[in-house]
Amino acid sequence: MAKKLTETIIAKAEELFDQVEVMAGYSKGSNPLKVSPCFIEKKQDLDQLIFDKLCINNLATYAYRLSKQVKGNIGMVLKPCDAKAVNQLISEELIDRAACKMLVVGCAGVLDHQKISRHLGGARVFSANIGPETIEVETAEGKKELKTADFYADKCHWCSISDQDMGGDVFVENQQKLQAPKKDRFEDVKQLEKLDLDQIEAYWKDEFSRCIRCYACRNVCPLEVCQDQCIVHLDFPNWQSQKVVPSENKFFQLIRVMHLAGRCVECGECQRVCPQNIGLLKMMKKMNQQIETLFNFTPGMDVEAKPPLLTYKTVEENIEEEELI
Amino acid sequence: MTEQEQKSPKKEARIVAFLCNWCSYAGSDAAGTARLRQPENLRIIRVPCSGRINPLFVLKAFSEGADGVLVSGCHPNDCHYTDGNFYARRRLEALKEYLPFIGIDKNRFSYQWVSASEGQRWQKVVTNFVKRINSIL
Amino acid sequence: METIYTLKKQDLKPWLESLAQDSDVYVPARDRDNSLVDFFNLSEIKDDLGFGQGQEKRYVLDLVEKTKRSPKQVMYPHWEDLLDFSYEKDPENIEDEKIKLSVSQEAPNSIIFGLKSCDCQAIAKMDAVFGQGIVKDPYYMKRRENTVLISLGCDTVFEDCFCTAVGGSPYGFDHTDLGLMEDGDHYVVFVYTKKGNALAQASNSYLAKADAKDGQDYKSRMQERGRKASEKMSSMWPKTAVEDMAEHLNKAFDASQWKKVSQQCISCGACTFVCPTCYCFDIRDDKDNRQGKRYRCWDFCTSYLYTLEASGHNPREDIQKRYKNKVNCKYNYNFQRQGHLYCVGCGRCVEVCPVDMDIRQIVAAVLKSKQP
Repeated sequence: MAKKLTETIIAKAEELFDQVEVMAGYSKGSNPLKVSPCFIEKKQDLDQLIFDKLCINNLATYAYRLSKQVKGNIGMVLKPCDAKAVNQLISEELIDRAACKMLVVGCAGVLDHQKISRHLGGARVFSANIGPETIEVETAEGKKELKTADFYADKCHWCSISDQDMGGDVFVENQQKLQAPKKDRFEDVKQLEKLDLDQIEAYWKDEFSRCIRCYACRNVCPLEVCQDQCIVHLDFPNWQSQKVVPSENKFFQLIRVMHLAGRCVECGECQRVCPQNIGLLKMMKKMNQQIETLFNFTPGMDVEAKPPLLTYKTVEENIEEEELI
Repeated sequence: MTEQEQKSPKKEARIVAFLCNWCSYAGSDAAGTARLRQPENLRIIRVPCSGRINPLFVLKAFSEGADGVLVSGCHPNDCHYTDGNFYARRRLEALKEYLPFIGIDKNRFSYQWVSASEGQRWQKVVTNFVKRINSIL
Repeated sequence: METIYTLKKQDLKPWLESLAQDSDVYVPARDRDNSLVDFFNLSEIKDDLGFGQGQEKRYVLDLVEKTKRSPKQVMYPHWEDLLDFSYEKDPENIEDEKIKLSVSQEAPNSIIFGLKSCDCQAIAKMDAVFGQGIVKDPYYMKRRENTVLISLGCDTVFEDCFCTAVGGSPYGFDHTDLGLMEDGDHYVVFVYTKKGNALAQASNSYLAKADAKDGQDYKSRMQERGRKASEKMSSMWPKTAVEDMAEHLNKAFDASQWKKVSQQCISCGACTFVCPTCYCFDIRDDKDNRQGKRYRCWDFCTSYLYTLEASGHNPREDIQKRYKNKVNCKYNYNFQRQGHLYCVGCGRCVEVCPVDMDIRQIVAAVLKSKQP
């Protein structure tokens, strides 16, 4: 099945390729549980493209950078959730809709390879056969069978757009439908909110004591296009110290939250790439939850919509101003 | 209040206030000129418009140890730059609701509208805000 | 002739705890809350640390898994204060302002327990950076002098390990003070340096001297196990010999492959910050009114800001150039400068890379192309 889907994608990519200068897609990774982003510049190389349940990366990460690098159009293989990020970039006029050809592929859910490899204790994996029900892996310690449902990326559990074309140029339908079991999107947010303020503060202090400030979360974010000019690194004004201490690490993350307020499409890349397993995504989710209740806005769904913090209403229905008198 | 409590030295609340140049700053000035009594806990930072206030200013103040942060600007529809305070309202409201999630009491932050002529209103706002912060401390 | 001791497994805990009485002992442990393995200071987590499975504690001693971060941070912390400064006005002459400087540095006695041989190799390479030449780095050296390394031979080979390809071996104990080998119900302890010897003698209530015959036996067994583990190692590394690497990379400096292999890099610092041999730092000031601290913190060469000049010009503007520099720094420039590669094959960078860049494949691809 996966093979047939890949063939369709390659065929569609070939059709699209005449209009683009470079095509971003997925190719075979360095080990059987990983896939690697690839950038194809020649038509005959298109057969490198693959698409399977391991394609978790959000290629929209490269959209802004590629569009600045190449003169012509760019093409991208995107899952519907990735296309949200591209839509958001378009709506903010950071990339040009006409210069970005989107090949959107219906998605049956993607697996987080880190969850699998953590489960296997980091053992060498020689081969992996991924089915809708089970994953068969061959490791140095022998063969193992795992349940696929346990290893879906978090975002797949509350995805509702897996078979939508999200305004892409080409849509490749996936015969398989989304198989990830449904979960509450705000489960972890609610869990944390049950605690007292002191406990919440202690929770974040503990989380951010692990942060090594590698900035992978920021750099992988498709919407944080200003990473080379980030205020984190400024000396004048000295927004924040480069000392890696929990309070500063938390402040760095708050910069990200504020920067992404009303923009974050919850692709979950920041949390996935964190080498220290910090639960960053709930910070973003909480802000999104508020933006939804306050302004009834979900980022990335409509390229015509204006981001809620870049506009206003003279009378805000959902804001209740407090009187201190 | 018992005698014991009265004697114990109480920590003085440190409050950072961001005031719009065109209204609230002048409003607080008016309160001062009119010799209205008000608490001295505020460190005032004058900004050109409440729309100038980056939510990160507020978060930075909290992370540097402020006990409370007060933002005050022109009344809606009265902005010197037409619509700065409308943008500010959206941002600051989003911020305010977010504070508890990172372990900060949302009562430690407030945004208010005080015009240049409202010295008395300013006095009330400040007095009540300081009272509120003191009750949390 | 080196001395060989044995340590009963049940004595490991009391031994480490006795060592922790007058030193900071760093042990590799898994944090159950987030499933990360890292070096922790024993005295900080003592009550929450379980030795062996089946204990309901937050941390569990983990002597098999590779730690996520390298132990370099014990001697070369992520950030450290270099000096305090303050401006003081002369009350007699207010035009005259003096800068007062003061340096304070703590270098507690430290013991790192449970290092892998790759980590030890890496520390030797760090010594070469900070401790050679006319000016030695006092901050690093002071800590290094007070640190004892106790390493443990590796029998488990992970997905990303490639130490044999860069001249190491799973039982390569050449830079350690004490080397441990697990053996049934006890550990065999090999002493390699004076520092190690002193430590072993001070712990005579836990360590028992092995007799000469057993010693020979242990030694040959250790070599055998090292060989076995090496065989399991990945063979993805290019066929080029370590000595020829620098020359080949020089030839490949303008290879068109660089663009292809580095295009997916997102310029984050994850690989640098987990690398046991990366040593670049930045010096900055935290100034508060009239006083402040000057500190240094790790920097990473894949960052756009790393080479950004005050004029606004950036000689390594695109990621291709930055990544090329990173690879060359590890396999070429430092080989020419110090005579050995600045990669110990621990594979941490491969493991953490968010976009699946495997330095083994990248080097292989570049060396294969060679022609510009």
